[in-house]
Amino acid sequence: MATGTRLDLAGLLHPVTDRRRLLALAAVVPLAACNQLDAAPAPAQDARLANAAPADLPADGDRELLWGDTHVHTRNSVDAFASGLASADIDTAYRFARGMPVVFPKTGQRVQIDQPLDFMVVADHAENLEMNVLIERGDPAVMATSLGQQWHALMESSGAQAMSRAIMGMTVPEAERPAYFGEVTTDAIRQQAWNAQIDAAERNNVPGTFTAMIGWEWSSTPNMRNMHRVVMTNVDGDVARQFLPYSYYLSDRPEDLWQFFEQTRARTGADFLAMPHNSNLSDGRMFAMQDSDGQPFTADYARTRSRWEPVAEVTQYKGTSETHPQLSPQDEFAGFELRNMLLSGQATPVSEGSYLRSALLNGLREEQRIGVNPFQLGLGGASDTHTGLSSQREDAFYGKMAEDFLPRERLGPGRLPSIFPNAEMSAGGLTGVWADHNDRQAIFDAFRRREVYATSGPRIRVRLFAGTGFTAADLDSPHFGQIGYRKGVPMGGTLLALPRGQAPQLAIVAARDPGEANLDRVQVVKGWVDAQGQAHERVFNVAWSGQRRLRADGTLPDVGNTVDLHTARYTNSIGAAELSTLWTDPEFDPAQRAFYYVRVLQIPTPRQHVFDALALGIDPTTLDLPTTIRERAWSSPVWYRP
Amino acid sequence: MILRRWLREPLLHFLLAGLAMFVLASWWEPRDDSGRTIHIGREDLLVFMQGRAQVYDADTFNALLDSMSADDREALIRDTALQEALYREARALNLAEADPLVRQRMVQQMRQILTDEAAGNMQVSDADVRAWFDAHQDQYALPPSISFSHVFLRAPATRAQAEGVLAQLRARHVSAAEAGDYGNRFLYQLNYADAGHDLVASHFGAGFADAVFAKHAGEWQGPVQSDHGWHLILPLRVTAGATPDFAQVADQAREDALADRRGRAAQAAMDALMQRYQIALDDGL
Repeated sequence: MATGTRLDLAGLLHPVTDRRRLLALAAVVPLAACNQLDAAPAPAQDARLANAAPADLPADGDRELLWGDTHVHTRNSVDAFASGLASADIDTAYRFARGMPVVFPKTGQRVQIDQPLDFMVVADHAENLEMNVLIERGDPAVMATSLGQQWHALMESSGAQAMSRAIMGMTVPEAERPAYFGEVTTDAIRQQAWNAQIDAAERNNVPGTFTAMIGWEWSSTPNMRNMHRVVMTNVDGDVARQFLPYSYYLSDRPEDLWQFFEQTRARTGADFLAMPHNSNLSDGRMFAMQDSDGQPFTADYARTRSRWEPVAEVTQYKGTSETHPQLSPQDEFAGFELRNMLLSGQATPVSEGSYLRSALLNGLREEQRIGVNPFQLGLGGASDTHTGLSSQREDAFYGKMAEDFLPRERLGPGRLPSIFPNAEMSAGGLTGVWADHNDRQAIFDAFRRREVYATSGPRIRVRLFAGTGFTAADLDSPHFGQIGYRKGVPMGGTLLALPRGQAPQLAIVAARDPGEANLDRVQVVKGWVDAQGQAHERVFNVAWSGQRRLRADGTLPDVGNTVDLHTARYTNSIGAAELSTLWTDPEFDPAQRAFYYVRVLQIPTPRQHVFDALALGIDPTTLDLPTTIRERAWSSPVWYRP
Repeated sequence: MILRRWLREPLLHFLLAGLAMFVLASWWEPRDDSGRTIHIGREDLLVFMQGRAQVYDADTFNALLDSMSADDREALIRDTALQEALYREARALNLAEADPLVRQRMVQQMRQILTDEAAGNMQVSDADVRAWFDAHQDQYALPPSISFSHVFLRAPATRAQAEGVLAQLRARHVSAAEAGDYGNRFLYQLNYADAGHDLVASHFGAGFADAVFAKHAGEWQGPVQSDHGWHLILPLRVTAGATPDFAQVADQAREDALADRRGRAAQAAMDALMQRYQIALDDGL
């Protein structure tokens, strides 16, 4: 219902000079009879319109920005249990995300997130889901199997870590694992584990305040090439209990996962989407230009893939997959939290199939070839934490795995060996979602329309609309959101050819995380395909702090650096709290397919390991890790489709 | 004489020839009886360094080797030798047989070698490609698609209300770029580009998808009801399902025809290989 705040029509219309737009607004205004947020009935200005237009419909309030982590592992994931009882259980993981103080089992200390999350996907591995916990508990169904007894004995004799390794089955050849695990992967055992995941989600789901999206991780890793997908569904527990989380023991081919979605949707009504992650660890396989049989894409394949996979993780603890300096040599900021290797840690050559910017470009090329874009991907960020704690702050990073938590375990002579050493890991990965409500369906819909974006941790607020008729005053309007949806499409959307080959405007507003560092600049990353089918990319600096001037080559003088490497502190004496711009592509060609996404950079701040180094009395400049980090946000792209 | 007879004895010739070959061979390639000498040359060091770094770039590693301190070089030599020693020990234990991963790798390599041998240099003629396309036209069929913009009126809006808005859209010749000014914000996209039936059905409902695919391009039409409310549709491009001309997909057809021929050749090579083996089954299997 109307709250009494009146929509300032004069203020809203002020920037709109086009007479036709005014008329159109008049047509819409009667729809705005009863706005939940800030609109109120307005007088009908034209009797004819008043008669024609619906008079009693609620108008659109603005969408709200929700923050969430789409990729949290609790100790119900076999590999998270590898650090024994150090990782949090599923309820602790939810309570932490909801803002409550919890105990971190690794140290017994009390920990609390700085700002509660609005939603979360617990994405425990579907493969042997909860197996460790079932064995630890001596679950009768599992203990009735010979594997269960064997693993239980191993836990008794050699501890939780040894048992977890055995349950991961690394000594069994990949192809033989499904058969090997047969007796513990019966539907009965899996249903019991899945129901427990669902029960925890239902206990913690508070629509309007905190949404526990039900999901899991499908962990296909052929030859240590990471093809993992986080899966989430829109439905509540009652429907989710009607299916089992599809695991790679059933198939390691993404085509089969999509087929499972299709069939399960037809059977139960549940909808799904899959978010590929860590393409940087896939040795070029994740966004390779062939299907699982090595065949080139068909239009059918591309349609299926883009339908089930609208968003990919661009950043998380195990590295950032936006691009690589070898692929984007002109991009000064391409070298961000890179980790180009196999899941096992073995270095690999840099290839296009491992990075999202290349995938977006290749998607345009494929669209030109077969008529459908297989990689029309929005960008999300997530932690992939295996401690159960979704932790993004550089100054309080709880780590990827719970093995090395204390400073002396992470750095210096006593550091613990690990494939994922926490000093190297990135303290980051969050998704901002522009949603109609905070509930399962609304968040799912936002992912499906790709109106989501990624950050490396800080809650940088980013809004992007592409369209026509924007004025500079729109950027300052308190109703920027409503104006944006009328004059354009939000991030994730597509612009069709405009009348007279006119160039679209990008209306961008970015604000810093209130508790964090200032912003350095806003960039637009453009990708396009020319008439010869060649892909191109270019990074434009479009808004920046201070009095800096663009150089002739489009670069910008450095913002500076206030980080003190003796105290791990910085000041907001440089940068800006808010940056906005109305930008039009100076090289726009109405005949070329293109995408545009926004990248917002913070001023330099100290990287997470620097805090540990200083605490241990180690000079951070002697370590082979960058001492500062340029935290950032990446919007989902908008596509231009002539 | 006995000696002369011996000298004419073929067995003796054979033994002498064998001895000569042995002497010659040992001179060419001195044999290390113990197997405990590891000979290391510059090339061995370079191979080891590149293998360890997983980067293959001879120039860089040559320069790196030249600029190495004596200590580093000594460590490198030790690491290289250690790797060779471990390899020899593993061979002595016949680990290749015991370790399923190594076995798998060897099988994979052998399959690759046979496949390359059988199909490596294979070509297809223009006539082959054409014949392939003719036989596999279904594979290249383009499903129907539609590009459209729409104005959405959220339920409980009525059909009559939607018809009123349609009249305005038509009277004002509203373009796709202005569609956002009318009606409510839809929960998915404002614009859809070459969208397939499945996608439209998943966003709007199946009935809506059927209806919208029956529209013609160029003007505002509707109203059409979806799962969410009423819509006025501006179709910009409606593409009926079609089989493309050969020329449009010739490159793809060439790739596919070649892949098919290669696959067949590889399969034939595997079959030929199996011809040389017999499968003996355990009793009762």
